[in-house]
Amino acid sequence: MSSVRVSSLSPSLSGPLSEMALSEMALSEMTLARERLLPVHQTLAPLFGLNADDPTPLALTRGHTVACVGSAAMSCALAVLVAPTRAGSWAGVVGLPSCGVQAAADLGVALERTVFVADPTGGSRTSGQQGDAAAALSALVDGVDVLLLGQRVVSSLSTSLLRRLQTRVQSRGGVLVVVGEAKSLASSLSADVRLTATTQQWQGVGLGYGHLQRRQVLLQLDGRRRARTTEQQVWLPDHQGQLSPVEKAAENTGVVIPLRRVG
Amino acid sequence: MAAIQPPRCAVLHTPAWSIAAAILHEPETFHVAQPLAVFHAQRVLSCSPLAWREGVRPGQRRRQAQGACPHLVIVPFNADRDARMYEPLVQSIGTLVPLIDVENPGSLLLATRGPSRYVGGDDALAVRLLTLAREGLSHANQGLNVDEVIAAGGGLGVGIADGRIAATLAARSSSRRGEPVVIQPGHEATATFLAPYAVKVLTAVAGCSPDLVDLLERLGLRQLGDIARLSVTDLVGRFGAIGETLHRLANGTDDTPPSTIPPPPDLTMSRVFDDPLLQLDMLVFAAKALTDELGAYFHERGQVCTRVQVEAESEHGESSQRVWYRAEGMRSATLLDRVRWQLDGWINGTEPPTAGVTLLRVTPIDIRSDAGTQVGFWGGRSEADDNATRAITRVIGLLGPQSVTVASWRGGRDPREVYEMVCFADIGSADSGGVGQQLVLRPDDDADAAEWPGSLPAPAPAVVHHDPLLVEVTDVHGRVVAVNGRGLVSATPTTLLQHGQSYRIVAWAGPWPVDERWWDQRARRAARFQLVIEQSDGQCAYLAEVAAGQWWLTAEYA
Repeated sequence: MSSVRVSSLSPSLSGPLSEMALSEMALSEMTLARERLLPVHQTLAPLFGLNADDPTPLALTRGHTVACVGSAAMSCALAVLVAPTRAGSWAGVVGLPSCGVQAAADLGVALERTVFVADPTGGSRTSGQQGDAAAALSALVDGVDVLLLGQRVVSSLSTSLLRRLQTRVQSRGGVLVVVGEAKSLASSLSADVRLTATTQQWQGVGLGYGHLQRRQVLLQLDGRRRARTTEQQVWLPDHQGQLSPVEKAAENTGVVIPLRRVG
Repeated sequence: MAAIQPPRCAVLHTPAWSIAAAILHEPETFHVAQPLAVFHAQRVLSCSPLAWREGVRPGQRRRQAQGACPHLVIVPFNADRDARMYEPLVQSIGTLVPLIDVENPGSLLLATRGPSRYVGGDDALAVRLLTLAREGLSHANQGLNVDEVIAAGGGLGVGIADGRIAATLAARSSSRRGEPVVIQPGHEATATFLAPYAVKVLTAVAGCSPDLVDLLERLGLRQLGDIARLSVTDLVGRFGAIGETLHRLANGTDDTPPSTIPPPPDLTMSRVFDDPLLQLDMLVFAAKALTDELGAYFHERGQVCTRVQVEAESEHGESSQRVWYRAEGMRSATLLDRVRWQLDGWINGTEPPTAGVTLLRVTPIDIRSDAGTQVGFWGGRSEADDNATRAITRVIGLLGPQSVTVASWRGGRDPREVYEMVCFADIGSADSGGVGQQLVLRPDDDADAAEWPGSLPAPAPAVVHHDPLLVEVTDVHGRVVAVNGRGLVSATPTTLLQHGQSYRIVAWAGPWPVDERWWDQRARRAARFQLVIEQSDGQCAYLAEVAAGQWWLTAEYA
């Protein structure tokens, strides 16, 4: 179709476009294993079998679906967004109008690279809405690395549409994070990684005094192609609203004695 | 300092060209007799004189503008339409002057030395330019009263003076007065003309940063004459290198925008098509490769292009040649806009090429270092940012502008209020030609996010109910717990009732009273509690609120 006569900058323009597209495809096939991974929060690294001292543990495989379940599922899902958005990836939060933005900001999610999208299905399963939702979600997958879906979106999408979305996420190299109840999520889609966050204990509040300060959460990770379930005790959130590991030795020294009203 | 004589220029200027273009483009929809305003990102970009008389001003929010003028007709912003409608005017003037600098649709500049001699003086040239412009427009838009349309666009002004800045200012005042403004040649006359102008004009006509202008104003230098009176040494001493530029600008002795550098001679991007292209889409696609590569070149060096020449040639030897200028600088997307405008005007215009286009050439003429709009520590936008912006714009197209939001910090006592959700579509800059030029709203730094008195201590709840859930909280005897006017609870809360289920309260804290906005209708008087309840799968913490004897769950620490 065309050729370049004067191009002082680079020879990359030469050759027909189809050839360029072909070579690009060939390149994408042979990307390095490290490039197929997105970072996770340092505290989550041991769960994925990585060293906790690694400042940027790369553990989230691009193309995977991560299901966050349990009583602390929302905080857990936000904690998954932290490292990728900080590293320059964009995140899309779909159909979660009740997502606590301040909690996300405190956890460390880069809000400047996070967009909040209204539920594209409108909560209905009519075919017209489904078509729009599919188009919107696949358009979003093209641009963001991490897509966080609420339970309501997942349950209002048809199974075939969900599978297509997962395939799309795989081909674009994104990560799909779904948050909700374990049972209903398991019935609608198959997750590669499942993070179960169970609240152990809230600290800082007594009977009429103090205020919520931190919560101990048991995180359990299991999934396909994983020999055993790994687990870890974390503060989610800790005093500053962040995610930090529970140090076994320091557990007793960290007891908070809140002020109480006298008289 | 010896005054350098800047080239004599003529500027043709229409302040609200978008309005005129909209009327020319859709005469059935928009009428001259209506008050019209162009909006972009919910703000007035420009308005017709009729709307101005009603109190509409550029920069106003949409609601303010409609408040000032309820019957205001809203014209959608469309840079492509503006450029296409301007093309006949440029072509008509092109019959007299070969090389025209189009700053943006609505404003063009040409060197007067040759044409002025040919026509017989500057005054004659000014009149000639106006006639040609009117002829071009009425030829292309038959059946419309072009004079009325131009008047709705704020008038057609022509200014001739030494240097680009003086000429531009002359054209602006000419469009207000309705007659050509010709400033006599020579340094004295130019300086006298420029002296009374406010320094603010430097942002619009010379690309000076608003910060610099603000500083000048605070130093008491309100008019260009104030700057011109100072010596170069003092200006350089106080402002550094830009001081010298300021002096030259204020004296009208220089028209190159601050700190431009000539590009390397071989920085010409061109493309030859073996198969001539006649379709605009394909040409623009080919042009995108050129402008992207130029954009990447500038990006690497931290530069922007302020003036560029775009040439296209057809198989039969017809050609379209134009120089585009943008004071804020052009990057790949803005460059591509210029190329598209030119090709669109040429191919779909009154004198289209008779054969396919075989050559496309983009030559940067002026380059300057990119000072003002760089974002992020590592220099500008990443590829991921561009991809995301493109994808999000597509989602907005599918779901509507209200559906995609970003969070912006505004502060407040309630978790619902701390972050405001802003439509992604609203944060694009007004001058962005295409996608990818939009600015991403960044929340304020921690320093600004100072503690609000009465706000809840960290951590924040991960789930916030924008529609609070109605519940009941009772004491051991099953009575609803109340909070009195002094902020004391009637009894110890022990049970939470929700959807007919009861949960044991294992810990609670509060009440923390809020009495907000008692001065207006949005008054809110409530007491807040933190409740920890025991559930089958562990503890669950809520933020609850008592207002008028009712208990609500406003957030969950999920």
